[in-house]
Order: sequence, then structure tokens, then C-alpha cells
Amino acid sequence: MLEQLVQQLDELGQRADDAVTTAGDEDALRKLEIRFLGKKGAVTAAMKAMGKLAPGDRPVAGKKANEVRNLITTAIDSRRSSLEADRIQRLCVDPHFDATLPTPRRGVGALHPVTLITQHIEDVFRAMGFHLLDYPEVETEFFNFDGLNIPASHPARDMQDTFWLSNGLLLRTHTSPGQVRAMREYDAPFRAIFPGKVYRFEEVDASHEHTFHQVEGLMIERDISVANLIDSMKILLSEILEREATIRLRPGYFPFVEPGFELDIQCQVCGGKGCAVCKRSGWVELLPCGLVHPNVLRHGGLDPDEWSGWAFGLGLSRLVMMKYQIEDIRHLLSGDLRFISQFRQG
Amino acid sequence: MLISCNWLRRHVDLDGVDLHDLGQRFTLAVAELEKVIEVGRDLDGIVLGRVVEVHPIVGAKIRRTLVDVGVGKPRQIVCGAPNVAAGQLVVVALPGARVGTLTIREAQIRGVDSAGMLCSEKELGLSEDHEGIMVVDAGAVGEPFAGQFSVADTLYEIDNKSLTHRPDLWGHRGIAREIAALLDRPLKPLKLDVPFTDERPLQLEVQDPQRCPRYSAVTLDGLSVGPSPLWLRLLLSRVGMRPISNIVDATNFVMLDLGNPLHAFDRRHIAGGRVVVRRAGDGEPFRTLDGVTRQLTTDDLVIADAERGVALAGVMGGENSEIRDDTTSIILESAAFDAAGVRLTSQRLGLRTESSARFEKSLDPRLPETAAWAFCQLLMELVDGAHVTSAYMDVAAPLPDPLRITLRPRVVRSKLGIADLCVERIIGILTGLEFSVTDAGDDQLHVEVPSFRATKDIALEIDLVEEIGRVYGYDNIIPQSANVRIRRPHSNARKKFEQRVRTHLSRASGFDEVLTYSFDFDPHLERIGAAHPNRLLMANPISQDMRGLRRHLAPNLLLALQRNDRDWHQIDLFEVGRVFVAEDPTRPELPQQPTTLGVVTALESVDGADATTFKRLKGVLAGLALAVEREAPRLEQGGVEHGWCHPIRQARLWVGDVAVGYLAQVHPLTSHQLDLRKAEVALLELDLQAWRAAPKVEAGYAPLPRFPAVFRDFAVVVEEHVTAAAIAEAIREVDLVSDVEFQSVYRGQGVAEGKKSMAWSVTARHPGQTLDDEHVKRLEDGVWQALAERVGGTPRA
Repeated sequence: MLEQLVQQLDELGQRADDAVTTAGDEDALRKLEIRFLGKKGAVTAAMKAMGKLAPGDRPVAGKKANEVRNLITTAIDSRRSSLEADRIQRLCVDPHFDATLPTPRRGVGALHPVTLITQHIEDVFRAMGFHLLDYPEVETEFFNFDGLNIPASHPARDMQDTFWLSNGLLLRTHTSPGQVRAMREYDAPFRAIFPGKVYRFEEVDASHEHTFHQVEGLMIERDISVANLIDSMKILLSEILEREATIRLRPGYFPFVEPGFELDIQCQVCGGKGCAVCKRSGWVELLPCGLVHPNVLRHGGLDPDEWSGWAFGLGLSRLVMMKYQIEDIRHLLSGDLRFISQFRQG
Repeated sequence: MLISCNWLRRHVDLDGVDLHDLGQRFTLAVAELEKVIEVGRDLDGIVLGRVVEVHPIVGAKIRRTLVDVGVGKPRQIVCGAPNVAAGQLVVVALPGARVGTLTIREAQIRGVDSAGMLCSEKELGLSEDHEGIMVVDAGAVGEPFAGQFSVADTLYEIDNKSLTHRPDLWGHRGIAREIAALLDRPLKPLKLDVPFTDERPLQLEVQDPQRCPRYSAVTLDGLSVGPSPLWLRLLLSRVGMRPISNIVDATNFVMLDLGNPLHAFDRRHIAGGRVVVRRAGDGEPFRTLDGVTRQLTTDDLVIADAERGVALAGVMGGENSEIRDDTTSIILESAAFDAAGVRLTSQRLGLRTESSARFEKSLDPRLPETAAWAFCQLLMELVDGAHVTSAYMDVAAPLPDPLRITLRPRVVRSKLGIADLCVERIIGILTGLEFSVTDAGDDQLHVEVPSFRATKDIALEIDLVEEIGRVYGYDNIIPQSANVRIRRPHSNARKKFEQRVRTHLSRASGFDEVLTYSFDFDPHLERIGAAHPNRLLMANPISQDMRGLRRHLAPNLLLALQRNDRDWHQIDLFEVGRVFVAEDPTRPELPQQPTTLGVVTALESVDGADATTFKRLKGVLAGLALAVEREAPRLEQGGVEHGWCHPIRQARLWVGDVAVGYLAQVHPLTSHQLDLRKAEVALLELDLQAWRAAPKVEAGYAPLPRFPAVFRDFAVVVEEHVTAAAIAEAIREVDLVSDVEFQSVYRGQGVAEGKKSMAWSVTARHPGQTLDDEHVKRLEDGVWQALAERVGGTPRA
């Protein structure tokens, strides 16, 4: 009996070892593990058969059974290590690998360049304590004109320049209507910018669009002077343009500011020496600005003897064209991906 | 507008002044000079000569002349000009001289030797006149041409638009006044002395004093029409005005000098000795002196005689009464017309003239008198025998009282930010600009505004501050930091929300941002099957195809999609912009203008059964919801009526009980109409303002679970109409369930027709203990019971 069992165990060990050594993968190995070592496995079955042995023979058989079990376990472990080593080794080989093979771009689309500039400007002004506001594009004649001290006879109010709606409203011709709206909405003193879309009745060509973008800036304080305006503009434009800006003011006529200015910036291309971009003048016209007209303050509900302020209007579409040297304004609202897709950075 | 520095010198001494530097100062203090142009500088070798003989050349139109240039014998010069004649004093370019880009050389023309060139005014750069050679009326043979006349000049080109608020700057004297103030030099006084008579040979009648506040006239006799002298032709030509004849040139000269347009009528053609200023009749035809017959309306103002219209007031004279070659007697009109009225007529007729451009600016009502005097004086100088035969006849509404403004030097200093600006300097600047100033003491100056500044740009104290600032020089002001108070910053939540939407969609979802017009393109609306009732319409659309404001972003996004369709394999676009929704577009109330998000995705190939693009956008929306810290809008299948939306694959979007938009695939018919190559397109529109108004869902921390979860998969067979949401909800309410996740859907073998099998992965967890077999059994029973009861679901066999 004993000999028979011992022989059986030896054969079992041998069979298991053969099977394990040729097992091709982890799955096969696991199956063998169950077949030989599992609860219902062959070794367990052999152990159960020991019960029928004479009590004196049992330690011998038991020792043998443990030997065989250990042998199989060791074989499986060793085979497993070797299979894992093979697998890792295989993973380290790739004869087809080509790091330069193009792959699709994932997850980064473009922001419109007008958005890029607007967000940059919003960040600059937010950091300086300005409100970021947004006002309607369909406006009343009052907020677009009268409230801004633009008289009824002013040429800007013609059909030639303004989109009128059939119900008597209009598409705002500038972001300035926000000045009176903001003064009415917020307690003085305050400072705010309001960017957005504006409209002019104009035929479209490479340098003219009937729809474009502006940002208006407004600071309401006591005792604002031209000296303050120059200082503020210099700081803000240096931030916006991300380089030291040299500016100058020229008289400019806008009914809602007095004094009113055209602000020129020293040409960033030639540094003021004169080039084609600045038409040899060394200066590039950038934005209109000025001290808020007393009548506009009044329309905003503020007493001009008590309050004062500066305001500016910056053409975002134009700034975008200057910054990226875009030759044709029509690209901006074309929805053409060949244009837009160039702005995926950032 | 062109300004001649030679002309300016008639009003202000410019000796020793660098005209380019002066131009710079003018730009900084008055108005931008677009260009400074040097003319007539390069005239070496160009001299005066006398034509001695003219001989024909056989078989040619050109002729052979002999010209005495003061040196040696008369030289032979071939000349093609029709007007060349013996005895003329002409301008000769000698060999070596440069005329324009041409260098004159001795040459043979038609076999005839030619030693120089007889020049036209155009060739000399004096004017556009190229009809013949220039004939000079005075000068010595052999003298350099440049020395005889003020040919060399510096011209300032000013953008007219920068002068719209300055009626006083529409003539050389006004510009000179500014320059005199900048240079602190005196403006030369006008010396006007005209021998008016006491005669009043005309009856003047102004029927509309509002449109014509002043009408004055003078009659002159003994005239003979001829060319103006060179000095006058030269000045006019330099500033772009074509010389015509002495009388017309004189009116133009005075206009360009003083700024007030004048008009001269041939007196023979003014009937009945009457001049009437009246509204035109409705449909009254009138032939202006450009030869065009125009239909007038009652909005137009005309000058008429006893019988008919003779001029379109302030715009253009009539052909019937214009100056002819045989005119000897004229009526000079010098008037003030209402700016808005002139603009109305000139715009309606599309007839913009030097005259209308000036009257549109609201001219000084005192100016007509000065201009009339200046004209009479000039004409008598130009024409031998010319004499004034009337009084200065004037019909004028009372001239406005001089405008007086109290100016506080303290305000000047504080507005400009110049602390040490003294009163003397303030007074000096204002006086230089012809304001009269009295110091009333107690920090008060009484300022009387000259009439030429009072019509438009000077009305308030702050306007005087500007005058002082610009002459003082803005570049002399030292920048000063504004004295601002720190306030609690406004939260700017709205802009932040929009920034997050844009940034997430582009940077995380990979969509490209476009901006499109706020106008619909109507032919496109037709194609995509969009109805467009209740739109806000433009009274003056840029084109009939773009007359309505958009109520949706989708149409223009589809237009952008179509534009890009052939160039890109996959197209993902979005736009953030306002749409315009009026309840009653005929009423003048501001419409709703919600800032709206539009997103479109288009794929080249999809599994058509899978609603791929719809699902893609739904996923994008779920991600966006996290980025903007809001609950993702709830989808409710159906109910989207837009013509461009798929009839089935569509859902309305809800935030709470507010409808905020929709998500839909594009109707296959729309894709067909747009001839899209893309297999499938989906889009969504979402009102960002409404979404932002929803409660914020911020990240929050909950302690991590202490006990492990159990995961179980369920494959349930339900009727086709049962929605995933209904199944998920049924499972979610079963006890112990903490999460339900959709795995897949299957139709086909083993699942009855009209039914579908859906696989779900369920996570169960107990907060206080590890789940045992008993719990798991209860969970499984609970799920199947809920599925059976709530959605009629059965386990898949």
C-alpha cells in the first residue's frame, strides 16, 4: 500500500513538473495549480488516500506527500517567474516603433484671437480693481447718443453710420453707452471696463467691417485730471502690450469727453524712428480717450462738480490685427478654420 | 484739406520757423497733419523766355519755335502745345533741368534740333493744367522761374474728419490763428476797405430764417472775365482747387482763405431784381451747374429770383445763372445757412461740395460780412474797372449775444493736473486765440468767446480748459498717479463664467471658437429649414439678405460648418454670443439679449445606429458642467421644433424648471441641403445667463468610505421605449446602491423584437459594515424587483 502510494506520489510529482514546465501562460499555470494543488486537486486526493494506510506508514507517506507538494509549488513558482520574465522581455521589444509617427491632436481647440486679447485685457484690469461689465448690443438712442452728449444733428446719427432697427432702437455703434449705464448701476467711485461687439453701417472690405469689437474703460473718481489720464493710460497700455509703452495725446473730438484726445503710441516696430507701419511718423494712433464730459456725468446721475473721470475706447479688432499682423479684417468673423486653427496656443 | 504755408504767411509771419516742427506742434495742439508735402523745390535750370518765332513742321502737329532765354541767340525748341504763339513769355526748361522725373536733354525731334522744353503748369508741378504751355504775365527774360514767383511751398494735409467740430479751421486764416497762438506771434489784421454805395438795387427776401439766418448780397459792375494772375492760380492749385476765371477764383479764394463759401450770380440772369430764399417745391426740378438736373423736395432750400430757382442753398449754384465768359455784372451772395439743413440736402442728393462741407460745420454768422468785403476788395484788385454798385445788403436774424463763460483757474489746474499754472499764462493763451478775458478776481476770469468758436465747440468752462491744455502742450504735462479709493471689487462672476466656458471648450474639449455675425443670412435660413418669425429687423440693412437679427446661434454655426466642410475631417466649433429675442419686435423696448453658447460637432464617419455625435455633445456638456460648477442641464427627449433639428435625436435642456436650450443632431435634410460631406452633425444651444443663475455646485469633501463596496452587473431586457434614465433611477433607489453606471445596450439574437437588453454596473456599499452574502442577496433581489415594477424589466436569459 505504502509503496504503491509513494510511487503514485512520485509519478504525480513527475507529471506535474512536466506539465508546469510546458505551461504556456499564466492561465494554463493557474489551471495546473488548481488541478494539482487545489482543494479537489490530485495531491489532496492522494493525501486523503493516506487515511487507508497503516498508522505506522502514515508519517512516511505524509512526508512524501509534502515533498511532492513542495516540489510542485516550487515548479509552479519557478515557471511563473520565468513566464513573467518572458512577458516583460517581450514588452521591451518593438521592431515597429516610430516615435515620429503623427498622431491626432487631442483636446486643444483654438480661442478666437479677439477672445485671447479680451481675456488678457480683462485679466489686466481685474488685477487693478476694475469691474468687468457687459452691456446690451441692441441699444436705445438715448444711451448710444443723447446720454453721451451727442447732439441730434451729429453726423454719426445718420443712417449712413448707424444700423437702425425698424422699431426705432439701434445696434450700438460703440461700447460707450455702457458709461452712462455703469454710472447708474454702481455707486461712485468705481472703475470698470466693458468689452463687446459693436456695429457700424459700413461696406465690408479688407480694412472695414460692419461688425467689430471694442473695449471701453471708465474710471470715476474725485479730481481726475489729464495728468492722471496720461499716467493711467501709460500703465494700462504697458500691461496690455506687455512692454513699456511711450504715448502721446493729441486733441480729438468726441462729444462725450472734454478734453478729448487721440492717443498715439510710439511705433513698436521701429521704436519711433519712422517706418512703413507708422507711415514714417514714429507714432501709431491707438485709441480715443478723454475726461468724461460733465453732461455725461449728469446723465449718469453724478454731479460734475463733485465727480470726474476718464474714459477710453480701444478697438479690439484693430489691436488683434496689429498684434498678429492680420491683413484682412474679414478673416475675424469668417468662421474659417484655416484662420481660427492658428490660435490654438495658450 | 490742403493748407499752403505761403498762403498762411499772408496772415502770420513764419520767418525763421521750421515748418516741419511747426507741423508736429500743430498735430499735438490742433489736429493731425497727415502729411507735410514739399512742392516746387527742384527748379534749377528753369527760366523765363520769350517766344520769338513759331514755324510749322511739315507733316507734323508739333512746331518749331525760337525762344529768347536771355543768353546768346534765341534757341530752337520743338513744342507740341496748341497755344504757343510768338510774343508769349513762357517757362523754359533748359538742357540739364529736371521736369518731374524727366531730365531735359538736347535732342532731335522729327529731325529738328530741340534745345529745351516749353513747360505746361502740370509739368512744372503747379497744377493739373496740361492743355497748353504756361504763359506768364510778368517777369524778365532769363530770370530763374523759381525766383519770380513763390513757387516753392510747404503744404500741410489735414484729415477733414479731424476738423468736424472746428468750423473756424476751414480756411487759411483760421489755421493761421492757431499757429500764431502756438508761436506766440500776432495774427496780421485784415485790412478791408470797400467803397460801398448807398444803392439797394435788389430786393432780398428770406422766407425761412431758421434755415438761412443771414443772407447778404453785393452787386459789382464793370467786370471782364479772364484768367486770374499767376499768384492766385498758384495758391488755388497748390491746395487742389482748379483755377477757372477771375470771378470764380475770387469766390473760391475767399472761401479757402476765410472759410465762408460765396456764390456769384451773373446779374443778367437774375430776374425781377429779387432774390428769395425759400423752400423748394415738392418735385421741383433744378439743374445745378454740374449739368445734372435734380428733383428737389420741400426739405431743400433754394435761392430764387422773381421767377425760378437759381441756386441750391449752400450746396451748388444753378446752371441758369452761372458766370459766363461775357459776364460783366454780378451779384455776390454771402450767407449763413443752417448746418443740418445743408447736410440733409447734400446727403439726399449725394452732392458734397466744398461749400456744403463748410456750411455743415455751423459757420460763424458774423463771417458772411467779412467774406463779402474781402471778395469785393480782391475782385477790384484783380479786374481793372471793377466797382461795387450797391450797399452791403444784409437780411439777418439778430446775431446771438457773445457767449460769456466764467473760468476758474483752480479748475483749469485741477482738470489738467498742472499745479503751478499761473493766471497770466491762462489769460495769455486765451487771448492769443482771440478770446477776450477779464480777471474778475477771486479766482474768476470772465471769458468772452469769439463768434467763430461759439457755434460749435466752445460752450462750457471745461471747453476752455481744453483750449489752455492744448496750447500749453499735453506733452508738457507730467503724469500723475490717480488718487483712487480701494473698494470691494465687484465679483465679475458673469465674465468669469463665460471665460470658463470658452477655456474649457477649447482647451479641454478641443473645440475651436468662432465669432459670427449677429445678422441671419436669409437664403441660408431657407436652406436649413429655419422659420424666422418675430425677428428684430433692420430699418437699413447692409443687404436685403441680412436684415434680421439672429434669434439663434445655430444657423451661422451651420454656415461656418458648411464653409469648412471640405477642408477638415472633423469639425468641432463653438461660439459664445448674444442672440436677440423680442416678444413684440415692433415695439421700441430693449429685447432679451441673452449671451448664448452654441456648439457644433461634425464627424466624417459614424455608426449610423449609434447617435454618435449626439452622445459626443452630451458628454462635452457633462464635462463643461463640472468646469462651470453647475448641474448639467437635464435632457428631455423631444419637443425641439427647429427645422434644422433631427426629429427624433433631440432633447430639450432644462435647468430646474427653466428651459435653457436644446441638444440635437442636425436634420438629415438640412445636411443634404447644405451638401455636407460629414456623415453626422449635432449641435447644442444653451442660454448661459440662465445656466449661470442656477445654484453653484462646488467641489466638496466627504470622508472616504471605511468599508469596501460590492460590484454587481445586471443585464435587463426592457421595451424599446424605456429610457436609460428611468432604469438608472429605478436601480438607484434600491437600498444599499451607491452608484449605477451604464455599460452597453444590445439588440439581436436572444432578445425579442421591440426589446433591448441593457447592461448596468451597480456599486453597493454600507456605511457601517462590510457587506455579507445576505446583503448581496437582498441587493440583487431588490434590483430585479425594482426593474420589474418600475420599467417592466426582466433578467436577460
